[in-house]
Amino acid sequence: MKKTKRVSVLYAAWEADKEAQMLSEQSEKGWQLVKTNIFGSKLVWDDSVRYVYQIDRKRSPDARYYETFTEQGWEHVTKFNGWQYFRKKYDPSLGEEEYKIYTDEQTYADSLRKDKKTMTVFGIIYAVYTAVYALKAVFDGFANLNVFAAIFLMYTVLFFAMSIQIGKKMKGEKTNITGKSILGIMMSALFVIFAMLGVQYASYRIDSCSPYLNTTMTWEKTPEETEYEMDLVIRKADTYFLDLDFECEGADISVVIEDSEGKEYYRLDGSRSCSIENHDIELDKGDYIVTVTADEGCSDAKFYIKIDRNFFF
Amino acid sequence: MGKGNEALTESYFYILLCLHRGPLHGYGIMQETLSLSGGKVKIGSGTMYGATGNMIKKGWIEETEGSSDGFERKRMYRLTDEGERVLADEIERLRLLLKSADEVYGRG
Repeated sequence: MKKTKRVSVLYAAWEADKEAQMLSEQSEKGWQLVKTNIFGSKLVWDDSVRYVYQIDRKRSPDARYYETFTEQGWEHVTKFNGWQYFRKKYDPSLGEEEYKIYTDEQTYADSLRKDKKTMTVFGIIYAVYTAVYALKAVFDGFANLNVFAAIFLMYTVLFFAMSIQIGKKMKGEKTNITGKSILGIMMSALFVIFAMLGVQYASYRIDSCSPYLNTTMTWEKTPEETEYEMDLVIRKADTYFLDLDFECEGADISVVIEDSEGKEYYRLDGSRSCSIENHDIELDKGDYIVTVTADEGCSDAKFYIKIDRNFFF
Repeated sequence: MGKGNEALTESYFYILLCLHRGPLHGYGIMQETLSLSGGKVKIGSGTMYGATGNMIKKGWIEETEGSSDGFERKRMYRLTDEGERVLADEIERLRLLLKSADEVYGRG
């Protein structure tokens, strides 16, 4: 069996030359590239050759593309996500120019132009999302941490940062963010967002509805049953959302939500079938009773009701 | 200034210049450029692919199937009329620059 190893170093789109440099150094030590995937590069031991590597950006290479490289002695090794890995045997008598694939700034910049554009477009899309969700949070009086706004804001910043880095690379300027730090920033931001979300979720669960944690009720009615009751304890005044779903053959079903003093908060009079989603009801702190009544003659029916606060928005 | 009078990059200029003599494949263009420039200008594969692709899009050059010598049929490039015009305009522009330079510097 041939000796293999895996090097997993994360490189950003503007660090292809850094990665090629690393592969060339590995080759000098005797480790040759086999393939690259999301987990890194697989190398095989062979110290009889030494290669110089170059990585080119090409999403959909045609025959002409490969031909242009092979005719100058480049061997196509592998590709990953639109990155093409080439190598050429190292010959100390050849000049440095022999191992360059871009000998002109304009064509190099062209090869990255599309990526820069994509990053900018994503940045703009996420900026719009962020604005929409942030506005929603303002209108809702900042009731909850708006997790979507936070995540979208993170994406907006990341995509614009990546677009700027690629732009710098295209102009031959020094880049100042590495792929590793991008991943680090993303992971930390996600961790903070989800930690806050967890705390909020816990407090929300503790103080909203009881005794049913998610206040979902399903009633599989038999022909003999005519009424079903559910107690609902609301611990925090808020807008609650009601989902209702049932179908009954031959007779009507009614639904009433009232507090302990008999004040009605919701009523749906006799209906054969019903499918309501996110109907909002203002409920104060207190005890409520949900009563479902089926007229006589209603055969088997499945009744579903859910009352909940909308957690995310 | 009319269309196509924008200064060409070194690679674009040499590719057009090499094709002026007749159709060539990529490797031929690279070698011809090396010899014309006395070894100073090397066109790398990425640059060759990008530049030729761009010039095909602009209609300055076109792909043509080379004469099949032996088994291999090599992809070749040929200058179009538009390409000839762009090259002639560029040479004209460079001549003017050189003429001005000569006037100031004098012919060494």
